[in-house]
Amino acid sequence: MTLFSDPVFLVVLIGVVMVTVASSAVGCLLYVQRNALLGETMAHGCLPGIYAAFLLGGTRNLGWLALGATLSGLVSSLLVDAIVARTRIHHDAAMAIVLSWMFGTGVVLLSFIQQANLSNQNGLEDLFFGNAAAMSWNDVMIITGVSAVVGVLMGINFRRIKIYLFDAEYARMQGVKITWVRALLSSLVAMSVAIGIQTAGAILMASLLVAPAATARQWTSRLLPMVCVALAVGVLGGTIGTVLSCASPNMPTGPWVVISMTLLFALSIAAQRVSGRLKSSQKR
Amino acid sequence: MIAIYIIAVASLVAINGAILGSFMMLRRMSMMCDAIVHAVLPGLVIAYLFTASRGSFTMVMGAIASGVLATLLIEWVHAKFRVSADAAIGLTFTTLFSLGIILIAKFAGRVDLDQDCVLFGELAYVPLDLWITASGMNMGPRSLWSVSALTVTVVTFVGMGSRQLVSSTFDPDFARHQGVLVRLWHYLLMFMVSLFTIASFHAVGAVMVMGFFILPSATAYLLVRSVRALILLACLVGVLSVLLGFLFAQFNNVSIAGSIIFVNGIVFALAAWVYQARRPARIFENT
Repeated sequence: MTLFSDPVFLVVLIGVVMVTVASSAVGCLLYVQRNALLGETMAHGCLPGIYAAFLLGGTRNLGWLALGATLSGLVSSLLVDAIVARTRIHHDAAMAIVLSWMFGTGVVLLSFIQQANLSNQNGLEDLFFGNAAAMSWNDVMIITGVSAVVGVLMGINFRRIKIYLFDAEYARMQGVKITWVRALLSSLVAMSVAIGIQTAGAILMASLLVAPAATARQWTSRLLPMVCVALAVGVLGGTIGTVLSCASPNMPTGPWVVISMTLLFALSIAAQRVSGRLKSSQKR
Repeated sequence: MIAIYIIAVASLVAINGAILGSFMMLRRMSMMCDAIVHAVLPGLVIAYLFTASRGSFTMVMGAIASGVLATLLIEWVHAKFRVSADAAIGLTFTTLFSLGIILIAKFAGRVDLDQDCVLFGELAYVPLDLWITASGMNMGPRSLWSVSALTVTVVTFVGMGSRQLVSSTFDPDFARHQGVLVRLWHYLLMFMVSLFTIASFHAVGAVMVMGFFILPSATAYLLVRSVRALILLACLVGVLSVLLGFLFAQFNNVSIAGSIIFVNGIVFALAAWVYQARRPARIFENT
C-alpha cells in the first residue's frame, strides 16, 4: 500500500479519524435523546461563527475558527431552546428555523468577505462540503486536542449524562444539575461539530453524528457498549471514506465518508438479519 | 428592470414556499422539508447527465423522483429497522446529498452545475438568463416563467385540495372517516415540495430554499389562529422580507438570497416578541 506510506495522506487520515471519534461518541448521546437532527442544526449554525471569527481575527487558524464555530453552534442550540420555551412552535420547526436562518446569515457573511477581497480568504467555501485534503499537521493537532477534551468531559460526566438522558426526573432527584448537564451536552455537540466542519462540511456533518450511532443501536441497547461500537464504526467509516476520496482526484472528503458510513449501516443491518435467521434456525 | 425581475422571482418563490411551508409546519414535518431540499440533488444530476440540458422536463422529473424517493426511504428505514424517525431523516438525506456531490465532482466537465450554484443560487443572475423564442422575441427571464408556472400549480393544488389537506393535517382519522385518501394527499404534498425545490433551486440555491419554506410560515404561525389567515399572512411576510432583504443586499453588496433569509429571521424575532407581549401572564408556572 503506497497510500499509507504517504505522509500527506497520513495527516489527513489521522485528522478524519479524530473527527469521527468525537462525533460518533457524541452522536450516541443525541441519538438516544431522539434529537439526532440537532447536530444538523448546529453544523449549519457554526457557519456564521466561523466567518465572524475570520472577519474579526483575519486568520485562518483552525483553532480560532473552531472557537467561533463552537460559540455560534452553542448560540443556535440556545436559540432552538428559547423558541420552543417561549413560543408555540414545535421542536422540529424551531430547528428548521434556526438552521435556515444561521445558514442564510453565514452566506451573507461569506459574500461580504468575498466582495471585501480580504487576503488569505481562499478555502473558506470548502467549509460547506469539507476538504480534508487541505488539512495541515497543525490542524490535526488542534482537532486531536479538542477531540480529547470531548472524550475527557464525556468520560468524567458519563454517569450523570446517562441518568439525565434516560430519566431527567430521576437525575434531578439524584442531585444532578439538569441545566449544567444540558449545557455540557450542547457544548460537546458544538465542539465535535466545530472540528468536523473542515472534514465533512457543514451540510454533511449530521451524518457523522447519526450514522455510527444508528449502526451501533442495531447491536446493543446499552449506552456504553453503544458508544464503543459507534466509535469502531466511525473510525472504520472515516478511514474507508478517506481512502476512497484520496484515491480519486478533486474529490471532497465529506461525501465519501458519509457514503462509507451509510454502507456500514446497511452492512450491519444485513449482517444482523443473517445472524438472526441463523439463530432462529438453530433453535428449530 | 433588473431589480424588478429579481424581486418578482424572489417574491413568487417566497409565496410558494409560504403556502407549502405552512402545511409542512402544521404537519410537524419541517425537518422533512430539509431532507427533501437536500435529496433532490442526485436526481437532478443523474437526469442532467442523461439529457445534458438545464431546465429540461427530464431533469425536473428526476429531481421530483429523488425527492419523493427520499420520503419513501425515510419512512421505510424508520418502519423496517430499529431507527428513530429523526435519525432516519439524518441518515437518508445526507447519503443522497453526498451521492449528488460525488456525481457533480466526478463529472465536473460534463455537468454545468457547480457546487456554488447548488448552495447559493443565482438570484443576481436571474435577469441574465433570458428566454428568447425561436422568432427572436424576448420573453423575459426564464426563472420568472418557471416560478410563475409553479405558483399557478401550487395555488391550484391548495385551492382544489384545501378541505382534504386541512382535515388530513389536523385529524387524519377523521379525514379517513370522511373518505379522504390521507396517504395520497401526504405524497401529493411531498411531490409539491419536491417540485417547489427544483423550480426554485436555480434562483435561491438548494439549502436556502429551506428558509423560504419555514421562516414566513413560522412567523405567521405566531400571530394568527386559522389556516387561511396563516397562509395569507405567511405570503405577506415572505414578500415583505424579499423587499427588505433585497434592499439590505443592495446596500451592503452581499448575497441577495442570504439577505432575504437574514431579514426574515429578524421579522420572525419581532413576531416572537409580539407573541410574548400579547400572551397573557401564565398563572401556572410550570418548572
